[in-house]
Amino acid sequence: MFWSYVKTIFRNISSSKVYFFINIAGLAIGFTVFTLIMLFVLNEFNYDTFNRKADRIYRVVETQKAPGTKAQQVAITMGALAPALASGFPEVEDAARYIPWSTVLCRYGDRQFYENGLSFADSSFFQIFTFHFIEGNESAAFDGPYSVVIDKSTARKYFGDADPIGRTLSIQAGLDQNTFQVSGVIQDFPRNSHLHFNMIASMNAVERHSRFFNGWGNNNAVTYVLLKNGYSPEELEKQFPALLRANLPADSWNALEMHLQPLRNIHLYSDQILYQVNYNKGDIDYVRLFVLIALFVIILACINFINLTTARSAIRSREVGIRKLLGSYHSHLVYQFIGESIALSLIGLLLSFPVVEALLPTFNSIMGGRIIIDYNNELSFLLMLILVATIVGLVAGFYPAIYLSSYHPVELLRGRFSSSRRGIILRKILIVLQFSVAIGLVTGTGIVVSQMDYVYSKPLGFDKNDLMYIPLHDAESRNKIGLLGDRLLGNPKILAVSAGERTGAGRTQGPVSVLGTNGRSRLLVRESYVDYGYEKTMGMQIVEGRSFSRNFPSDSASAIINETMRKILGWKDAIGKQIEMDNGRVFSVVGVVKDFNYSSLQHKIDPLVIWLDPGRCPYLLVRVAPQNMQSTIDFAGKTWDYVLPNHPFEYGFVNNHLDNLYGNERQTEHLLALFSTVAILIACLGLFGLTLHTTEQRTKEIGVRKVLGASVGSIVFMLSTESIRLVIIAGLVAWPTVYYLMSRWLQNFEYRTAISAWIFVLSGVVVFLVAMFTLSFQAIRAGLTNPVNALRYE
Amino acid sequence: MIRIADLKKVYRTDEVETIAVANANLRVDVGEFVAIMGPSGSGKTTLLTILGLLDSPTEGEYYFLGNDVSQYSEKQRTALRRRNIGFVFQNFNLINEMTVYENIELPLLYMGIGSSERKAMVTEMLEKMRMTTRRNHLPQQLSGGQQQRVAVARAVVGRQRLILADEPTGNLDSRNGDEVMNLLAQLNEGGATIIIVTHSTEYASWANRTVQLYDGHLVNENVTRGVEDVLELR
Repeated sequence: MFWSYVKTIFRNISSSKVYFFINIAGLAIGFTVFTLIMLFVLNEFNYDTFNRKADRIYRVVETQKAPGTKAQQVAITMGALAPALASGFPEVEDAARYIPWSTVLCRYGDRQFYENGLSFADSSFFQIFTFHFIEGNESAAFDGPYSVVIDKSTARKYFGDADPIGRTLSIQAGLDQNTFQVSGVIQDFPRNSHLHFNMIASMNAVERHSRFFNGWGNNNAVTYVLLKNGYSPEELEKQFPALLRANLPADSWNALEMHLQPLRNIHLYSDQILYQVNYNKGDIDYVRLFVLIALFVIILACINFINLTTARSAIRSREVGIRKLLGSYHSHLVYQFIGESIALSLIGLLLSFPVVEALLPTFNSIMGGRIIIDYNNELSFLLMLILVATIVGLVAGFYPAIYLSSYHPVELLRGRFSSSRRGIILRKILIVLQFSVAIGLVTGTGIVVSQMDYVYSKPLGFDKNDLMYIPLHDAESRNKIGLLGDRLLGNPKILAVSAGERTGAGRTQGPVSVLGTNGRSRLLVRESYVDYGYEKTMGMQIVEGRSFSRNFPSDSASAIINETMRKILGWKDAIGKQIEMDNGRVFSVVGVVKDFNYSSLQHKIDPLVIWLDPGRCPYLLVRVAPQNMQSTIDFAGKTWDYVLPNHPFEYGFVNNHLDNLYGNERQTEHLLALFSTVAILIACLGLFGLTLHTTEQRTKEIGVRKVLGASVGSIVFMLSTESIRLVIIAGLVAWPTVYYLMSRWLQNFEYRTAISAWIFVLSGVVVFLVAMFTLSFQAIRAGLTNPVNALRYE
Repeated sequence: MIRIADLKKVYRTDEVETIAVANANLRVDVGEFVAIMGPSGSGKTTLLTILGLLDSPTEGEYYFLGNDVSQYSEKQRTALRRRNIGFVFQNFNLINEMTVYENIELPLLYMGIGSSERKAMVTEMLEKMRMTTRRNHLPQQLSGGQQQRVAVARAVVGRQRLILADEPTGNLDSRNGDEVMNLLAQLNEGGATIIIVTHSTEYASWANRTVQLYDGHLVNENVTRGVEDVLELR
């Protein structure tokens, strides 16, 4: 009996190849998208799970409620916290500080490179996280105060094939000693780790240099905690308030809260956390969005299957009648048809594998190279796909199976094969659903594109174009700012040179005290350290007072604030007002700069203070003429090499840097565009199949109409009106939903474009035209057929 | 074999109530060859669907092999039909996607007959119908007469005791029509009970007796040959 069913499946396939192709293509496309997205999702959830103790590792997150800013979460904590937790709490098995360092110049013999992957940590760090030591071991890694563990690639980069253990690397980290001894080599990090460094040195080296990292007064280290087996994080969290009260001044008690974030949540659930180490940070909202899209695409493919199978039920109904007549039970037939649809679904899955294989590199590059799972070797992943394909077959086959098998054999004797009214209505609803999804995705894509356009083109308050930055990694290079500036300005293509933050403000915030209209207040402000001529080079506008000038030697005690800060403090006239830093130094305000966005437009503008301090400037900023850019870059490189021969030349452009802030959004934009296309494709495949079927069914009617004088146009119109109506209804269903969802998405941005009506109209028109094109192909062919042939068909 | 008493079949739609068969009484004994005649719409096909256990009567009694089956569930009727009744149609109703062999084999699959026995039964039937050389052909590759021979083979391959034929010669020329009637007569001689619906008085005369249907009413019975004769032939 089983083989009889299998034979029937294949004979049915070969007798209706076009419909089989439409079904199978839809399913294969659906499974391709589903597999790709699931690979991405699986990777996202796999972050940090390679750590053997992953379930017991937590990161301390602080909630700060400082005046002047919204409450904010930060994943950077007091340096004294980890030692206190490790020694004073029975729940804690171990705790470690981890400090990512800034870019440093690193040298071994004649090999020198800038390294931006240097970190410092306590030796307990190796007990908490899992590392694969190729040489050395975790317990002896930080025996010496100036020990450094490097990864395999770095070892090869500096030492080639030689044994790195015991060799000395010069690391210009600004500490007491520049020489570090290599004590271990670890495997390169897997990509699915929120931590990422290529060299990690002992915390001792930092502590010897400054007690800054040991106190309760500053947040400067990430704190990781390993709980003992059987203890819950809540038990430890309950004791945090008392710990803070014992160590912090009274005015901080209510401004600070701490909690523990599970290691497994760091990658996906850290969107709102500032100042965090989070390599390749993910976002659970995007993961959800993509899962939703994967489901949509699969549902679209199922709908094609349901629609085509029920529409063509008349063709199978004879078989059903005969089988029933010969003694088949109703249930036999339900199993047969569900079995058929599961088989078809599995064939679709099988066909999707080579497509996935071919598309994976491209998809992975859109996803930022995150997918590292070799799914061919993941048996559980393959089983999951097979299970999903079976469920898809079951779901898609269920209604058609019930529908087809309910066919009564009596009809065989009467020769009636008609589509039921119920079936036709369901088919219409499903088409509307398909096109709603397609129109919804296209509209959503349109809105994302328009927001990203807005983001890229919105005036930020400074001119991001043609602005080159050159990192100043150490004191030696910062001492040469003046000299570099003078030499660079010798080239007429270089219009201005200064130093400071490349986007106007850095990542750091600090507290200041000021006397505002509401009395004395403490304010958490963004800090920016600059050199003379900064505003001019950046293209910022001073709206009150002046910028720093060499004509005013007292400017080392001056400050420039932004409009937001002036507004918060309620100052009508800011010039001459005093700002006191935490260390007691007082600055007077000499100017107010027009507000500018220093970060992605998802964030609002905070109060900001600009200080004149070339010694703390992280970048040299060079405003260049847009013509002949490459020769100007070459000139800057030569000038740099001449002034700082021991420092490799690095540079970048501010607009590129800003664009990179929107990595997730850009990914979403690309993927939405891709999946909208897929959705339209699947929906149109279905529409094509249904039109083909309708046209076949109405061949006689078309013939008669043509004999009676109907024009080609009127035939096309007759065959298309119904579908056109359904596509329009689909638009009406999709638009309000999309409007609601996209309004929510736009809430992520402090600065956002208005959702304009033309996007809705345009997306509707696009889908409508594609649908029309699909339809007209069949309709025109039917309209042009010789009516004699059509009638002979009977 | 079959006895119906005061059998009635009514079709109801929203607007109309149609009485397809009204108060019909009929008895068909084992080994009989009965022809049902009547104009279009007289209820012949409805009567056949009820006799074939494809549908149940609205009222009345239906005894099949001594059991009252008028209240049987669909499942019960299917089980009974599977083993006892074979059908032959005007338009053959073969499954186009199956070969001659597979079409004949299909009822045996539903009867749950083992594969070697099935093979023997189908092969025997193919020989009997002179279709052995065509066993791997699809229905479209056969002439009408050949298709109807396959349909007859399918109807009797499971040694069904009752053959219901609905206009079995309607789509055939006279030569093929005669051949199919011959086959049915042979089967009848072999012991099968046959009920045939036909418009042709000539083919009706092949039967032992003819039953006339008019507007759902069985109006007369015309005995062509005595049942006793048939029984004697066995």
